[in-house]
Amino acid sequence: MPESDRLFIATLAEDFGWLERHALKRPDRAEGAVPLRFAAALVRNAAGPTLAGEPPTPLHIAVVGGAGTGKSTVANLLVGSSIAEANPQAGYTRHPVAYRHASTPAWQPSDGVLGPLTRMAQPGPSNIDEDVYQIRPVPADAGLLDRFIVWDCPDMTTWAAAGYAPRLLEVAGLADVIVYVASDERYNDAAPTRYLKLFLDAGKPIVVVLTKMKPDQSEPLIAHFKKEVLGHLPRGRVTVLAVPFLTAEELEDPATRATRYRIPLINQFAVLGEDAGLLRRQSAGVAAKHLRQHSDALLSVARDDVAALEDWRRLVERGRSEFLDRYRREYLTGAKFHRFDEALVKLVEMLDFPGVGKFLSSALFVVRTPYRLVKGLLGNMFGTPAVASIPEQPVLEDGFQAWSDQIRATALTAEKQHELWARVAQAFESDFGKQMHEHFRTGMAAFQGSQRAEIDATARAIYEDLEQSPGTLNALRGSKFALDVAAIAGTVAMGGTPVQDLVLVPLAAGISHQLVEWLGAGYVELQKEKARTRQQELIARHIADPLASWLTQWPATGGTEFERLQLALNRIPPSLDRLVEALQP
Amino acid sequence: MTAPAGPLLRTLVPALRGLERGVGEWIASPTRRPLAPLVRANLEGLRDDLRRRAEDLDGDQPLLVVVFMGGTGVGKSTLLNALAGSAIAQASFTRPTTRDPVVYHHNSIKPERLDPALRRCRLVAHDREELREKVLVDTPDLDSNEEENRERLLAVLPTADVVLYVGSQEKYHDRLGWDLFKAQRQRRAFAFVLNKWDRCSRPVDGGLRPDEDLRRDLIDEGFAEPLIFRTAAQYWVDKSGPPPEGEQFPELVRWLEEGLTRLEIEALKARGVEQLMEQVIAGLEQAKPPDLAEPARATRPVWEKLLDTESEDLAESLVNTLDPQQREIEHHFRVTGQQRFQRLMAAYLGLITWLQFAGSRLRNPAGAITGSTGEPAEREWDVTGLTRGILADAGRRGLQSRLQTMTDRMLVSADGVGFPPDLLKPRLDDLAALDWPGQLRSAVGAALSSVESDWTNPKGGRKLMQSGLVFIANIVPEVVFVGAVLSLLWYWFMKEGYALTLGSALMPFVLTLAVLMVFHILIVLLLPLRWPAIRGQFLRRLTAEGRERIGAAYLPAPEAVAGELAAERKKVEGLIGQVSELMELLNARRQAARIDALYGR
Repeated sequence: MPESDRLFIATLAEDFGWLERHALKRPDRAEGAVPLRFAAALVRNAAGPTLAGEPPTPLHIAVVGGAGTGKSTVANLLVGSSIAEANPQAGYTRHPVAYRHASTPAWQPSDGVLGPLTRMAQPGPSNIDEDVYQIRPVPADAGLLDRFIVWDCPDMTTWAAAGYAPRLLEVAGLADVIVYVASDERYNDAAPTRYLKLFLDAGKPIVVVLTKMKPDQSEPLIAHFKKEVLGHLPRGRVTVLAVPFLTAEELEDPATRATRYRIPLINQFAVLGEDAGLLRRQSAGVAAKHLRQHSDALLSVARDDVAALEDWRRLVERGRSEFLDRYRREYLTGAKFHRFDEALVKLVEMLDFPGVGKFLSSALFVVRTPYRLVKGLLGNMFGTPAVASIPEQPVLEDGFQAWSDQIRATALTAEKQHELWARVAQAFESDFGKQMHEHFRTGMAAFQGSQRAEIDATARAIYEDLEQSPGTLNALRGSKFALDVAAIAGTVAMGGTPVQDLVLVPLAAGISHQLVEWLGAGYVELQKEKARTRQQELIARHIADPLASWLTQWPATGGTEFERLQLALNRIPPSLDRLVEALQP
Repeated sequence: MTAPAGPLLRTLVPALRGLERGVGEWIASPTRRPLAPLVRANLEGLRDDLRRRAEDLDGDQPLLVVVFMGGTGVGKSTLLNALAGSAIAQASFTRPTTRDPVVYHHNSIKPERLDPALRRCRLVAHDREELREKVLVDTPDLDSNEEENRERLLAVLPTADVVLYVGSQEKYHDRLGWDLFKAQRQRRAFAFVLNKWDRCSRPVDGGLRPDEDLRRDLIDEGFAEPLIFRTAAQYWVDKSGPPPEGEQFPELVRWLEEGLTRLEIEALKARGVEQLMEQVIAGLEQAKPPDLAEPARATRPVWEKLLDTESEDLAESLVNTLDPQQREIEHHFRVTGQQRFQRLMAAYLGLITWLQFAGSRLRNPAGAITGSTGEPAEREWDVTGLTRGILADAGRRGLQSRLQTMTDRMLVSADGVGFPPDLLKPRLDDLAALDWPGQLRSAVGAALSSVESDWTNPKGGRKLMQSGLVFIANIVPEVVFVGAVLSLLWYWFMKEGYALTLGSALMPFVLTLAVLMVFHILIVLLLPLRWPAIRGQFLRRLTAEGRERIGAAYLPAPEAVAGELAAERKKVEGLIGQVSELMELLNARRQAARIDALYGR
């Protein structure tokens, strides 16, 4: 297997494993951990080796079932020897024990297979409660099951099983066939049935062995099981057999005394084992497809984490837009941009001719004196006074403070709803507020730098455009001059040159000048509006956006749970697609 | 030991009923702080238990309900059949077998005496005197794929005085049963049966014998001497051959028939009530609202400081929105200030104002600005025009966001002094929804009125100067006019050859106008009325007005919340007090009996 594939399998299994541990942290989601562990086991124990093209033999049989159902007895029947200790203490077996015939090909798990389980150095009692497995040798068995390794697994029903059932899932992921043992007492129990469904969903071939009934009850019990239990489960490759309550003698020597139960059982595997390679490839493909199809359900253990993150994102976005709104409302709408008014004066000045034209302009200026006086008087009577701009810095500071308070207050009131909020509230106790302010200050500095340049440039552009195109400028100057002259000449021409009519000359000069000023002012006002929009964009670009994106990312940074969670959630679906793709025949 | 215990336990009934009612009323009362769903469900369950318990004790003859609990196939029904000596409960090899609970009771007990949950089950009466006061209940399983069975079991379980936990070799250790046992063990007595003992007795290598294993777990759970019976019920039903070695079915029968005497039943009942009371106390303690009197007190100074800056900011922003309207405000002040002038002076000033504030007048037509009249206290500014800016859409939104910001800040600072913000938030949200634009409008009006009355009715030296000026200005122009006219007349009549020119005829008017202008200049100089001078004073007043209005609404909030919670706390403490009284009552009547082995620590 190429190194990249190996890494990919290990990463996917680890993502599932991480989610499993995440789910186990909260009792109310602990149920969701079981399918996640099984998913991890399927990926590393079945899909991985298949992808690597490892030899299909030996095949693995996992014997699973509730406590006391006779898993060891069935394992003994399979291997043909009373080697597995059948113990009346419920939940005695705590780790998987494999039985291998001397003639069965040796099995050496490749890297990562069986996950955290390590092989015990020496055979020991099966009640050692650690992440281990052991392989016990069995005398050769007349070639009956010489291509199989039989795994006797711990139970999943006792109250201690929460700790060791993951080991059973690990082996079930590895298994090519699962033997599901259910006693006459247990066959309709909810807890084991959930596991049976899990195995069926993943497409594992299953042999159900019903045990402990009286011999004459075998047939009705099989029928009842098929109807009541299998009838409510997804269809799969299942066969059901019965092994009644065995006598002590039969238990002692299953190979010879319990042949009538043993042979039908072993026949099941003879059929399955005919084309081991095909069996394994098919199983892995079906399992991968199943995981992809049910990935939503698998990932649902993180549902409320995802919802909390979504709430957080929304809160940050709300803060951002309120910050910008506030800036527009409290500063921009009142901002006067006095640089623009200066530009207007300059613009109007520029329209007067330089050089010799200056004398003409001065003459006109003198002529316009009454106009200026009247304008001042009227302005005083009718105009509204100019209002000073509100300073910008405090508005921004206040807006930032409001944003930070909003986040903190929300976190404090939602503390009990999700750990994310508790974490935010806690971070505020240390230096979250300071960090946030640091980001704000950086943005502020960047903004101020570019703002000054921006305003200056926009204001200057009002007249610079003209400065750079002397043709247009002179044309404008000429038109203005022509307008003034025309107005004066027109007045004189109409009224002749009597002294009292000469009073009208300043009036005409005034009107023509006012016209030009209005045009200029309209143009500048337009530019101011544009500048407001641009100003807000600047604030968004330099302050609000960087701060918002830092905040949005915050829960998922610094090696936190949320970072890992996001990573897993983002990685799993495409990885499953890739896995299905890679396992296509 | 004097009187029979039954009637004594019966005397607890009214107290139990009272407690049940109290808890019920409290849960249903609308003012309380919303309870967490789990806490609420727990209290409702306890209330049911109280009712059940009261009904149970309200009889002459106490009944002991023994409920069999266990997984499917462990042999609960077989056990009951063996105890009854006949096949009263359906037992079969298909799982699950029992769907409907079977209640096995003495024929002297009328079904009405049984708990309603039991009355709905299949009732089987017997005439065995030894079991007269005992009701045995076979239940559906707790672990099969039939989830309804579990619900049926959970419906019957609360009636149990004693739970007989039946396990088999396969299932004695199962998680589902064990979880249920752990959830119930603080509420009732437990005895244990390890059935199918025949399957356990095979030789063991390495592991523990199941009964030993179970005993060890129970000791770990706090049962010093758990009562465990090893049985093989099937043998006693079939009556085929001798029972396996170590079998204890006869002991179980003996315990049920003779071991549980009337005295012990009484003691069990008493202990049951006691356990229930412990549960009720725990449930109430969990639901009891916190005591916030101290944090509420601590919140006030913090909020006051916060309101100082907050109201300053608010006033500042309001005054900013008023800045463009300064001409209107000056106009208004001018009109008001001129009302004390009369005749010529008034006419002159009126004309000047009319001209000077032409723009303001045009913007506020229909006499919106008329100046104030009457006593300062009654003056009410018509601020509709002025507050248009404040109440416009953008201003309203701005106000809303300002209030939101203030709320956030208050919550954060309340948390700082230990007041849980989540309890405070709903109230602050309600407050933010009040008519704040209206409040602010009235604050602006009040601030303007008070500034105005300062200007028009000054104190001390300014007052003297003002009234002097008004007095002189009201007289002098007329005197000058009359004097000038008189002197003109005097010249006309007395001086021979005096030719009346246009200039001298206009003289009185010119002189009067000059005097009026001098006074105008004096008024402007001595009683200046410009916005920048008013603004600072107005800002201070508005800050104070706003502070007062916001403070009146917000400052009492923490104490109000704490007060509500304290009232509820008191209610809950009252209930806890009732429980304690009941416990004392019970302790006083406690019967000595050996039942401790049935309970864990």
